[in-house]
Amino acid sequence: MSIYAKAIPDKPKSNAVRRILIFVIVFSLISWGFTGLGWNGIMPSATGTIIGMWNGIIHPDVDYLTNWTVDGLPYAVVETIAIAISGTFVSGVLAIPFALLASQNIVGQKVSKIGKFIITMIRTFPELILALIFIGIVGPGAPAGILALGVHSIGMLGKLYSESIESMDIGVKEALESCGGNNMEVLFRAVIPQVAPEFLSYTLFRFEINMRAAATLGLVGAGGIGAPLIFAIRGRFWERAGIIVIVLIITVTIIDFISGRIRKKLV
Amino acid sequence: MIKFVNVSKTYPNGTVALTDINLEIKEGEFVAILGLSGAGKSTMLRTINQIIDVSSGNIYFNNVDINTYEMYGDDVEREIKRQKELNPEFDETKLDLQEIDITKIKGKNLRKMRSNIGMIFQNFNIIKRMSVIQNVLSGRISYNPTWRTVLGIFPKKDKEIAYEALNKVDILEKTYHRASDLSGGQMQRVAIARSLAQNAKILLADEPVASLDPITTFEVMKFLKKINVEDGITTIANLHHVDLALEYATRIVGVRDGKIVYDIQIKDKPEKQIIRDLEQVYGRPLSHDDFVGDE
Amino acid sequence: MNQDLANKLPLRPSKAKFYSNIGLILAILISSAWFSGFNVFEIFANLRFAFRLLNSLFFPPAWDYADNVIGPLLETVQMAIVGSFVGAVLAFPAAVLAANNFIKIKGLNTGIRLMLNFFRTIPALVLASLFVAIFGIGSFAGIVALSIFSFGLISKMTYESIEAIDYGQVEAIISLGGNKMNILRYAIIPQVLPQYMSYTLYAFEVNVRAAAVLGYVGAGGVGQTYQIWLDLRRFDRVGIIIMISFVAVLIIDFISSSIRRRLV
Repeated sequence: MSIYAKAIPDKPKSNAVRRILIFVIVFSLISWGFTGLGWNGIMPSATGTIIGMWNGIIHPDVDYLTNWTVDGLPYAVVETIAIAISGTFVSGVLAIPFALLASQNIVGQKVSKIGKFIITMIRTFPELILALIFIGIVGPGAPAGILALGVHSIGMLGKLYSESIESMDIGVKEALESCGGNNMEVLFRAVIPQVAPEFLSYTLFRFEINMRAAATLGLVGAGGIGAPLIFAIRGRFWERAGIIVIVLIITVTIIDFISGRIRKKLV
Repeated sequence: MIKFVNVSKTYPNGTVALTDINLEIKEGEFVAILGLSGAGKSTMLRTINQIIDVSSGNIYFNNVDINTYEMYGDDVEREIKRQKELNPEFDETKLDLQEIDITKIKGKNLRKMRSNIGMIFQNFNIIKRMSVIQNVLSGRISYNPTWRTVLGIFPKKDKEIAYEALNKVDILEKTYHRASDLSGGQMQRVAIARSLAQNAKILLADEPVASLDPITTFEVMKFLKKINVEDGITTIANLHHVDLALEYATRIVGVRDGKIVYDIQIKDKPEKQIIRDLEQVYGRPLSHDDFVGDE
Repeated sequence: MNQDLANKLPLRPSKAKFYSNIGLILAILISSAWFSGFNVFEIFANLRFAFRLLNSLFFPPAWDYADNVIGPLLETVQMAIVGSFVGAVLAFPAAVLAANNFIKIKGLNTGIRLMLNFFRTIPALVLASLFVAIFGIGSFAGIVALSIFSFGLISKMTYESIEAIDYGQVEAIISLGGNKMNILRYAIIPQVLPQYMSYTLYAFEVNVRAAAVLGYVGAGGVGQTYQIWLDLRRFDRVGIIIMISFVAVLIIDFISSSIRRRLV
């Protein structure tokens, strides 16, 4: 380091120690994760399975696609979309009061903390379990799926809505209050107009996610394309599974696209 | 050292930035390019190291060793002597000096040419999340194999060069600090140090002080002048302020609507005359915005 | 108001578009509800079943079974860790290739984005059941499914970050003669790394929830335990699983969010 040895400050050591510590922790966590890999080797039938899957993609069961009865693919797809729409709508409506309860600038610090906690609690319930619970209440079929999605989505929408409310311009609310508006009027004329576009955007985003969720809820009997799909996979009817997967991907992609366009226009 | 020959540039969206630029810059000059915003100063500067390509024309660099793409400049003898001092085994018979048109070379050779040209920017463009020393060491990128630069492990020799560069701009005490901790003027000095670590023979400065307060402005300009005079680095700077040009540069080039309309050595004319001439370049009387002010 | 004033008023913007939009939305909503047999009144009628069910789930839950939940739950977390890690590692190069401001080969950028989209469209549960058919029952199938899902998610968010960087730093490295690797290391990674890690943690949070149900198709974790006891109608045990999973997710979310906040 020759002539500069005196001029240069010492390399800070504490930084290095902290970084090594973090690295060790992360490394151990990940290694521990890998111990649960559960590698049992490939099933002996695996090659056959993969060939079967590939076959199912290139030779899909088109009859299923053109089966316009209740047992056919179109019905199942439409039912899936219907579940997603209704479920998202239900959660969109139900999330509003929760969101208000969780917003600091509406109900104050303490109450908003409780509200946020409740929303987080709802978010933690896996949709599948909710679906099973609702099946126990309203019986199997689409309504259970709608309720499951509806309740679960309150978690995400409630959080996003409340963030929206908390970041809105408080001045508008104050202006209305100061000229004598009561709570309802403030709500409808100050709060809602400001947050409505964002709410709609978030709701559409949640709808995109719910489309995927709706496809799986059928597995436990909550309606939609999930049941036929998982049955086809389990029973190794690859042509049927193939057509379902293809149609599912196309449907979700189209809906994503439309939804994305609408969302861009909103915000 | 650098020769523009009929250089023109039209952007894809139709904007004509440069028209028939002919300019010769000798080694060691400190050229100040003045002109209104949008006159083409930035484009012209960026064609020198080809981060913007030209639509037509050539930009020649003389005495470039075709094997290493090192620039030997106008005074070849002096540069050979300097190389011998750095590396006793330097063999001058292996040199093959030619005039290279930078608009015609690509890829690895272009990168080698660029390593001889340093560039500093109005918003500094240093890596805020990294330390000062790492920033300066990045100037040594083209002198090291990729594996070293990717891992950030530079040899001792390069670290020495980096310390020397930091010392030259008086910022050694911040060597291990995170770059984001520095003030604007300090960041610009780190950028200059980076170019010094490159062993750049030419320094391009695109509005280097436009974001700085007056006192820091003079500080940075002093360092630019220092390395120009002491290390013989040819400096080409886009400047907004006329008094900076008059104070620090040796030559003023005025650009208007993509053409060179003014070109004099500062010592050749009295200041007041130059200021009057510049009003022609700007197309308007100069105001106090065009001057930084008193020190 | 007098005629003069009435004449001066500007024309009202047509409300037709607004109302037709609302009408369209209502039509969609109502037909969806009808199609799926969603009858709000029926639901309220069945509400008493809800209380009975909640009763059997949580009052009381099978406390004695709690110890047996921890094992599968840990497996679930392991699956989430590995899935997020593998997905993240694969996602980074994919994001770099997909970003349209670094490697500018048009076909490549679009191609990779399409692939990412494809992976994000298939629900994780479906992927898991496909992999169970190949790898057999157990957590490996679930890990592969989660990796693919995380890969799609993290890639998308990361390439959007890459496209939003300050290009000046890239310019600086180009101007001093750096090649693509140098640009990546010095200009792109320093700017994008904190966000990339934040996205990985977010994916981890999502994966912990997802892994909990993958077991339902046999892909390991606590999902399998759910399935067994649901089938056997031992709701008290289902209840304890729900409660412990719940607490675990809360803790993990809390830790993960704290780290994420300190990153960006």
